[in-house]
Amino acid sequence: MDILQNLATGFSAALSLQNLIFALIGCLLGTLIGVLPGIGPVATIAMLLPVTYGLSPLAALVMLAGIYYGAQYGGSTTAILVNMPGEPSSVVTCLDGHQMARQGRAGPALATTALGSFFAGCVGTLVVAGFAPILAAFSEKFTSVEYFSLMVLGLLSAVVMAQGSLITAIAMIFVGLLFGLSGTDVNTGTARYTFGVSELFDGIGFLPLVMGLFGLNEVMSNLELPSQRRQIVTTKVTNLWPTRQDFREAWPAVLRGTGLGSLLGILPGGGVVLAAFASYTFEKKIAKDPSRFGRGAIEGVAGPESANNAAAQTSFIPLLTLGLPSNVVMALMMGAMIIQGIAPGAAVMERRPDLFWGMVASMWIGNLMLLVINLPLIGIWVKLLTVPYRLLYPCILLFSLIGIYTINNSTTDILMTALFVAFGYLLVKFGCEPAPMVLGFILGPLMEENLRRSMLLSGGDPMIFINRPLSLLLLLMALALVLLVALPQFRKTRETAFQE
Amino acid sequence: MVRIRSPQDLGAAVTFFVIGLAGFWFGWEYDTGTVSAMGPGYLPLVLSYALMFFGLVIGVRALTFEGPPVATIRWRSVILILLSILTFALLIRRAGLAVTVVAVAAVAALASAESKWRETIALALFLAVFSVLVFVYGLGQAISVFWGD
Repeated sequence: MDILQNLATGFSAALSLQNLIFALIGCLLGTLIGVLPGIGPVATIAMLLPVTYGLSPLAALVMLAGIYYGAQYGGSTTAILVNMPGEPSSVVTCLDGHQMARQGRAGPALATTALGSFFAGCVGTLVVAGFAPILAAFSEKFTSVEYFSLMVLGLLSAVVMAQGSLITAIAMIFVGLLFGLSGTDVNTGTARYTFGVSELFDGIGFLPLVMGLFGLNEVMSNLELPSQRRQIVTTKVTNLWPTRQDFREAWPAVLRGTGLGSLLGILPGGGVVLAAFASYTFEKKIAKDPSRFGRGAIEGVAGPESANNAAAQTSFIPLLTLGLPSNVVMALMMGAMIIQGIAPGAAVMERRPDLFWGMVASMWIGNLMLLVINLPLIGIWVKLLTVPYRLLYPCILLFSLIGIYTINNSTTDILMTALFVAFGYLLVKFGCEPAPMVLGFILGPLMEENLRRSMLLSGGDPMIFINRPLSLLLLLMALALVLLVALPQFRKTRETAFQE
Repeated sequence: MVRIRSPQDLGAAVTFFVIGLAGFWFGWEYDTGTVSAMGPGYLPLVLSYALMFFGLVIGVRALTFEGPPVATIRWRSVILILLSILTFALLIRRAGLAVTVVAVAAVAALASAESKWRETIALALFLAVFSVLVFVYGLGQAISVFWGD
């Protein structure tokens, strides 16, 4: 009955009027930005992060959760109506969702997405509530040695989902780690890589880095696309409700997608993309008539959409219990928590149960709100899709810059942003994906701290990482992951998965 | 004669090597300490060496295996977007939010060949009013609307 009691704590914290309002604003803003074509959840969250800075920690986390789910849901809407995936995980939704829309069944496709996501969100919340305490208790046995190995595993698993070559992705992690070490060293007070700039004494700003590498870089790459012929389905989305047959076909797919997504979300490096792809492949495989897929099969929408939402939920587990972000979105969440003065990990659960369980509860509330507000508001979202990009990008740029500026009222932060935009642009041209770098950046200081402590403990003997069974296990898992990615067979499937 | 087989990889290699070299150049004087008591310079140096090593390995690969070329760089959008960000940094303290927004929107609009000037003026004015209302009056941010206040 612990779970129920914990959830009760959470709901009583999250259900205050103030927090509900912030959850609502978060969902609305998240959907609003997420629905704009060519803007994925990472950019959406990065753009809206500054909005949460002035709030209390719980309100900020509640709002962020709302923004995250809203962004995801908005991305699916764009995928279905415009055939433009805002993020890799809605690539799959495009396949059958857009076909449904072209057949005049956009309404049922959107409704299935919303209902499936809501169901998956409920299950995902329960999984988090049930699983997080177990993992947190387990992590109490961790010392700095195990934490270091865990971070190695976490960082290397980021490589699995990165496009491009293995060694490039690993090098990107190192770049991130090095950038993360800039600023004043906590142990000795030495200023590292600050070049006498006082704003750099606290390290390179998280927001300028993320906005430069992701948010504003997306503007650059979108500007380079030739004037797109967007195939917007502008016919009025009238009949939202799926037919009885739709329900019969979608329901089992939702169940399977939820199960698959919950499981894959927990794995480091897994997350939403893998979940969506796995679910689609699975649905296609077990279907009686696989040829329907790609031509508007409702299972092809219901399964992956449920899977990615379940995974979106459960990918919070490693972050909340171990302090380990498993993908860029989670790295953003971690950055936001650190700015709020919370170091994510098992300690939060013990010391601030209201905060931890409040956040878990707000995940569910966020999902419910999305269901309630989005279906009636579909008309507005459809209208937004028709705004041409030449009018959108100056707005995106300005709001991002104002957001970054207002945090510290610092023009240095703006100049740093410009630097990272240029750097990120080069990286993309050179085939280096910035995602592993962001993970390295956020984990850099923690990793150094744990490495120092481990070496102090062992008197400088690196064998300590191998002599401890738990640490050895984590390192072996990391090694297995790298070997898996290096295997030619896996490489091939990974490449085809990205090409689709 | 050495032939560059993969320009994209070569670009990545140079990037990594330069970052590693810079990390070493600016970081070699930090106290490294010993393995059992690491100083502030220990990990930065290790990472810098590793990056230079990665740069060399990827560089060798770029000369031995065929790879994709570097996609064309659209100078117009790159330079103008960067310029618009710099405009923001330059003006926000001096000219206040309203003027900054109009200027940034105007420079940014030039980055796209599709922008139309009438539309841009309307958008810039709308954005100026909107951001002043939302950020200064709505969210109460400490930015002046015009210079001098």
